[in-house]
Order: sequence, then structure tokens, then C-alpha cells
Amino acid sequence: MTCENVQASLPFLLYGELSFDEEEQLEQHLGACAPCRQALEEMRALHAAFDQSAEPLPAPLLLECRRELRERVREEAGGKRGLGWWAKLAGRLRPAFLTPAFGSPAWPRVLGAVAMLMLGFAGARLTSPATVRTPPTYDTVPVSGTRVRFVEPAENNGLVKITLEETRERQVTGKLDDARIRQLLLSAAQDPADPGLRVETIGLLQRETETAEVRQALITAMQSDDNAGVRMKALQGLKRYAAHPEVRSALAAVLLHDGNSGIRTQAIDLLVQHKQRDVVGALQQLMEREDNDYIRQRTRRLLSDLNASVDSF
Amino acid sequence: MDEAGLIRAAQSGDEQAFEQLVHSYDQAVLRLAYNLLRSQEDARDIYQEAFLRVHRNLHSFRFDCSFHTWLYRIVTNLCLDHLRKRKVRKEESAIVETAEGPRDRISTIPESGATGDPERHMLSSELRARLNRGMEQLTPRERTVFEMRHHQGMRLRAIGEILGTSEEAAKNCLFRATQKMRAALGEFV
Ligand SMILES: [Zn+2]
Repeated sequence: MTCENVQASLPFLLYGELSFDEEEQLEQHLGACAPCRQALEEMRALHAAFDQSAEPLPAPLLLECRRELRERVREEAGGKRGLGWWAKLAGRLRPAFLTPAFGSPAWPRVLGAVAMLMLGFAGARLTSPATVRTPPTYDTVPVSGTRVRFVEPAENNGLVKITLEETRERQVTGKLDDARIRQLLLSAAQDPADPGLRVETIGLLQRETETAEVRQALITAMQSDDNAGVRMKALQGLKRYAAHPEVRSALAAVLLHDGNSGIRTQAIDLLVQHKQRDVVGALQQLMEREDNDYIRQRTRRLLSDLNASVDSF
Repeated sequence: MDEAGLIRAAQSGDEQAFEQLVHSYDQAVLRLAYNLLRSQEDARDIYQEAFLRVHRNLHSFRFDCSFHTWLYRIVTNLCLDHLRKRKVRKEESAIVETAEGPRDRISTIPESGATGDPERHMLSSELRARLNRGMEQLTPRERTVFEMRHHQGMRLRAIGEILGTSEEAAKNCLFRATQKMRAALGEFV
């Protein structure tokens, strides 16, 4: 073991991330090499400094988070039980109405004035007279997802008209082979705002790769999602198709362009399962630029199995 | 009740079991988010979003990885996304608007002296400044791996699994982070 190798392994020694054998070799070297022992001491000091880089949690933060979570979970559960939209809406509107000025005896009068709100929803009108007469309850926790779009006075009768835009959650249950379910999943797989959702969705879709459009979605995600977790999941979903020409050319593109060596490693592992010549050109290009030893070695082996030269010329 | 029992109970709608499950992980999750983002507001957002997602998707958890891995996939994805967005914003402008007017972004990282722990006052401001500078130079991924390994004590293998990559890749990432931090600290250590 060279001093350079030893010193590169020191952080992992301190983290206990070396195998028994590696540790053994390292200790032997350290026993005989003063400069490396010195380097180990420096690494220890560095780790001690790193320890200082952690910020302690501000004391009330955890409790606040827990409280807020409990409220939001309760809201969502309430929504599932079919709690009236009016109750939720009323709760939501509370902060705007129930400012200190309205909090006292003046409130009942205000309540009288707004008891006959007319509500225009984007798209659908849900104002059945029975619902409107339901007295608002103000003990519901406000939910996000409602935005007041327009307000206007209606005629001269003291009523106001408020147009709301609501984001409503709805649950849909169905099988993966149902085209409508698949359509929803395919669009969720591209939700740019939410990589967590994309990972989950790809995970579900990979059970249904029989369909060409699902396979296509996985190929797209594997090649172009900006989240490595999503790309990896998509790649795993394509495992069964390692012989499929379209999948193979996508895997070759991943090898050439993905910056994540973990993903490239998986890609080459899939490609070598089938000794097909279709990707020779890409593999030769890869040999010119790949710097990961494992990937180079696998690529070289595949090329030689295919009787292709390792160089592209 | 063991963890699997708690998960099954929570899956069938037992909110108390869900809460118990949350409480066995949430402090570590919050600490990770807070240390990665260095902002109470952002950490709070990550906390809510992560556990609400757990709540919504728990029914689809099939025990084919550990709950810990599943949870941290959600958490690290949220954190990485946040860090990347912030990085883009930062590249656009290194100056942020604060209540006291525009300031350099780096100086907006909270000073820990404000937390009132006397021991931390001992830490020289120079070391703190260098640690912060070092952190700023890590990529979102390097920073996440570094936090999870150094401060949360997770194994590299587990970190790789969470981030959807190999143990080797996580190891390389940690190595680069260590090198960058060492360079930032310079002769100081
Ligand atoms: Zn040596």
C-alpha cells in the first residue's frame, strides 16, 4: 500500500467504513510509517473541526413542527371523511375575517352579513341552497389550497360575491392496467415540482412496462430527469428490456451522458447481459471519455467479447 | 409495538401509530434539513412536506426497503431540490434582500453564537467562517452525503441506497467533500 493510498483511506478509517482487510493493511502501514501517522492525526483534527459545523436545533422548532403536522394531517383526514367543503372553506376564511377587530361582539353582525355568500367556483357551481344555509363553523384549521380570485358586491342587497379557486384533493383507485390510471401516473412521472413523486410513480410504472407508452416514459425519465434517484428508478424499471433495441440505445446514451457514475454502472451492467453489436459504436466512444475504472473494464470486456476494437478508429 | 407493527397500524389509518412512527424519526430528519438548509423556515417546510408525503403514501409502502430508507429518500429529494434551486438563484445573484437591505448571501447563514450555548462561543469566528465557506463549496449532493455520514452517522451503503446510487459513488462523494472542506480550512486545523 502506498502512502498516497493510505492517506486517501484515512477519512474512511475514521468513519469505520473500511473492510476488515483494508483496515488491517492500513494499521500495518501506519505502524511503520511516521508521515502517515501524522496525516492520521491531521485527519482527526479535521474531523473534530467538522463536528463543530453542526448547528444545534433551535429548541422550539421540533415541537412547532409536530404541532403543525398534527393539524395538517387532521385536515387531510377530515377531507377524506367527507367533511363539508363549507366547513373547510369557513375555516380557511377565518384568519381574514377574524382579525382582532372582528373577534369581539361585532362579529355576529359581520356573520349576518356574510351568511349568504354566493360562491362561484372555477368550472362547477356547488352552491346548493342547503349548503349555503349551513352555519359556518370556525373551529376548523385553515387549509392551504384556496385562493380568492374575485370579490364583488352583488346588487344592493348587502350580499357579496366571492369567486374562489380551489385545489381539491381527490383519491382515485384503480389497477395499473387501467388506461386512465396509467395516464395519471404518466403525467405524475413528469411533475417537475416533485422528484419524490416522480420516484414513487416510476416505481409503480415499472410493474407495467408491457405497454409501449410506459416503456417510453421510463426511457424518457432515465435519459432526461434531472433527479438521479428518478433516473435510477427508471433504469431499474427497464431491466427486463435489456435486449430491446430502443432500450439499449437509451442505455448507451445514458453511459455517454449521465454524470452519475452509479447510474452509468447500472447501465453497463444491463448492456453486458446481452452480447449484441448494436451499441458497439457508443461503447467505443465511451472508452474515450469514461474515467470510472469499473465501467471501463466492463466496457472493454464487452467490446472484446463482441470482437470489436477498443478504439473507434 | 415494533416498527413494522406501527407501520401496519398507521397504514390502516391509526393516526396515533402514525404519530409514534413520526416521532421516532422526526428529530433526526429536522436536524438534517436544518443543517443542510441553515434556515428554520426552510427546515420547517421540508419537515411538513416530507411527513405529509409519508402520510399520504404510506399505504403504498411495501416493506421492500426499510422505512428509514424510504423516509430518507423523500427527505433527501426535497432537500436536494431545495439546495439546487437555491444554487441556481445564487448563481443568478450572490446578493440577497434582507429586512436590513441587500446583503451578501454567505453572511446570512446564522451565527451559532445566537443559540446561547457558551461552549460554542469558544469556537473562533474564523473557524466558523471557514467551515461555512467550505460548506458553500460543496455541491448539494456532496453536502448531503457529508451531513448524513458525518453528523447523522449513517453508513455509506445506506446513503447510497437512499440517494439511488452505489456505495462506491457515495464514498467518492464523501471523499470530495472532505477534500474541499480541508482545503477551505487550510492551515487552520
Ligand atoms: Zn505512509
